Order: sequence, then C-alpha cells, then structure tokens
Amino acid sequence: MKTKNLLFQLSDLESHLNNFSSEKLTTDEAFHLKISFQHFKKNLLEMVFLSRESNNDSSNDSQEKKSIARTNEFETAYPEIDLQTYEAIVEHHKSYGNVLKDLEIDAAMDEKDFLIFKGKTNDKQNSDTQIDLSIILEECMGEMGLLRELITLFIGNALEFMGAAKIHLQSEDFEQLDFAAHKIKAGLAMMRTDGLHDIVVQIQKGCKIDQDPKHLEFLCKCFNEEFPKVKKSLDSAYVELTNN
Amino acid sequence: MTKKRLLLAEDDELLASLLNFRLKKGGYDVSHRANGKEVKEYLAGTMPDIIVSDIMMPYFSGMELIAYVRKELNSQIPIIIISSAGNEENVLNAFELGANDFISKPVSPSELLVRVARELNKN
Repeated sequence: MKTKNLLFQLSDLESHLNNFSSEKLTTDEAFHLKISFQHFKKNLLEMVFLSRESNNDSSNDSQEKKSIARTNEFETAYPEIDLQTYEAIVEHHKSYGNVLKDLEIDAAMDEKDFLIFKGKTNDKQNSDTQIDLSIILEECMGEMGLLRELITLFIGNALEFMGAAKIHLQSEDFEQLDFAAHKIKAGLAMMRTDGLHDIVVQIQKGCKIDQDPKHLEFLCKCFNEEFPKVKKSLDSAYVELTNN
Repeated sequence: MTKKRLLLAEDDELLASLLNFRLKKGGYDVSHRANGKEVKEYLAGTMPDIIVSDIMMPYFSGMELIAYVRKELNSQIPIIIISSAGNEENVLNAFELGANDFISKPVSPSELLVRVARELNKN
C-alpha cells in the first residue's frame, strides 16, 4: 500500500502544481514545470512497474552488488516497500528537491518520505483496511439484517465497478470510467472503506485531468488488490458485531 | 393520522436500502424507484407529498425530474435533491429549476429525516 500512497501523494502534488502554475508562474514556466513533473511521474510509474527480473538480468556486477546491498539494507529497514519505490524516492529527492523547495512544499514531502524511509507510518495508513461497522449499524438502528444486506450490496457494487472499469479502460472511455467511479464513491464513503474511497477519488481525478491510461490502469489494479482485503475486513467486522 | 407519501428516486441500491429503511421507520409511506423511467411511471398515477431524488439517474436525471414536476405536472411539492460533493454547479441548477433543498452524499439518514420533516412542515 505504501507504493500506492506515494503515487496518491504525487497526484495530489500534481494538482497543487496545477493550481500554483496558474497563479504564480508565467505560461512558459508553468508549462515546463508541468511537463517536468509529468516526465518524473511517468518514470516513477515505470520504475514501480519494473519487474525484479530486469534487475537480476543486469550484466553489471558492481551495479548488481550495489542493488542487492541496497535491497538488503532497505528491506531490513522497511520490509513492505520494494527497491523500485526506494530508488524512485531517492531519484525524486535528487531531481525534484529544488523544484519542490521553490514551491515551498518540500517540508511536507520530506516528512512523508522520512516516514517511509524510517519504516514508520501513521495509524491511518496502518489501519487502511480496518473497518468500523458500528457507526453503520447505528444508522441501521441496530438491525443486523439490514447491515448484512448493505454489505452484500456493497460487495456487488464493488465487483460491478471492477468489471466496468476494466471495460472502460480497454476502450479508453474515461468519461464512463469517471461516471462508474462517481457512482460507487458514495457507497464507499458510506461503508467507511477509506482506502478504496481514496483510490476511486484518484481514478476520478485521473479521468478528469491527465487521462493517462497507464496510471488509471495502475489505480484500478490497486482497487482490485485492495478490495479482497476490504471484503475480508468487512466480514470480520460483521462477525465481531454479531458476537457482541 | 395518514402517513405522508415520499418518493425516493435513487439508483444506488446501497444508499436506497438504508434510506428506505430509515424513512419508513421515520413514519413515511416510502415508494422507491431506481431510475427515471420508473419515476415517471409512478408520477403518472400518484402524486407524493415529497420527492427525494438523486441528481444522476439513468433515463431521466434528477434535473429533468424537477423540470417535469414543476412544468409538466405543475406541482409545487417539495423536492430534495441528493448530490455528490463537488457537484455544486448541478445543485445551483437544481435550485433554479425549483428544487427546495439538497443533501450531499454520503447521506446521513438522520439529517435527511430532519430535512424532509422541515420541508413538509413548511407546506
């Protein structure tokens, strides 16, 4: 989930850059800044998607040793994040530190990167798939049958969205993908599935702003990977409520 | 005392199930319709005391519904619009067409009950 968080942060940053460029920079400066950022994002996505095989196939021994050493060092520090993300963060600091500093948003990024580097994280990130159904049960006035019905409908909606997203991505129909995301968003918020909700918000942003199929495919993949965890959490939370 | 008739026009079954349940518990005679076509068919035979409608619905949007009720049916029954956050422009258009109130998604059933009661008390 940390890699996804990094990409979410980058998308947010991209939005900030858009706002900033329209207020403070000349058109040319804003254009160059935006292009640079998009180039960085594209590189980061490629790095994130790189398979470990491509690293192993490297013929350069010293590079491989360095890579392995860095992997070991990094995986010890933080086992959940992969080497590509680590490299991307390092590259981000090298290439964009100054730009971010100029934009006066380096402090926030540094803090987030620091947390990732140190393997620390806040409670929200740790509990992304923890769901509290007690609030929804209150809204259901304690009716467990209705709560079960809502969970079933929620799962049906999520599965439908996953299917629809796949089709719309294949046809690069961003308007329909945006619409499908819009339709499911309220249900995700209602069921307090924050992780999935955040992904869907990013999908909507992606459909409206950059319309990058690769990025959207990645976000949909995140949703598909996150959903089974959410479903499991929902089931556990329901069982817990039943036992109480 | 007869129950007030409430038409709930919402295509999201998840939200509709919860709202339907809470509105019924709140003492309303609720009819739920999941798309604009069904809404129109319902309105051809029955005029509810209040309508709660999503903006984005298949076949016949919430905006079209407001225009239909106000102009074609010539009715001034209260209409509460359910809108997603970020849809402020649609909300303004809905008010211009004659909507009485709006509530943002995710909808709090308790808040909706208060708003429904308030609109009915005005009349």
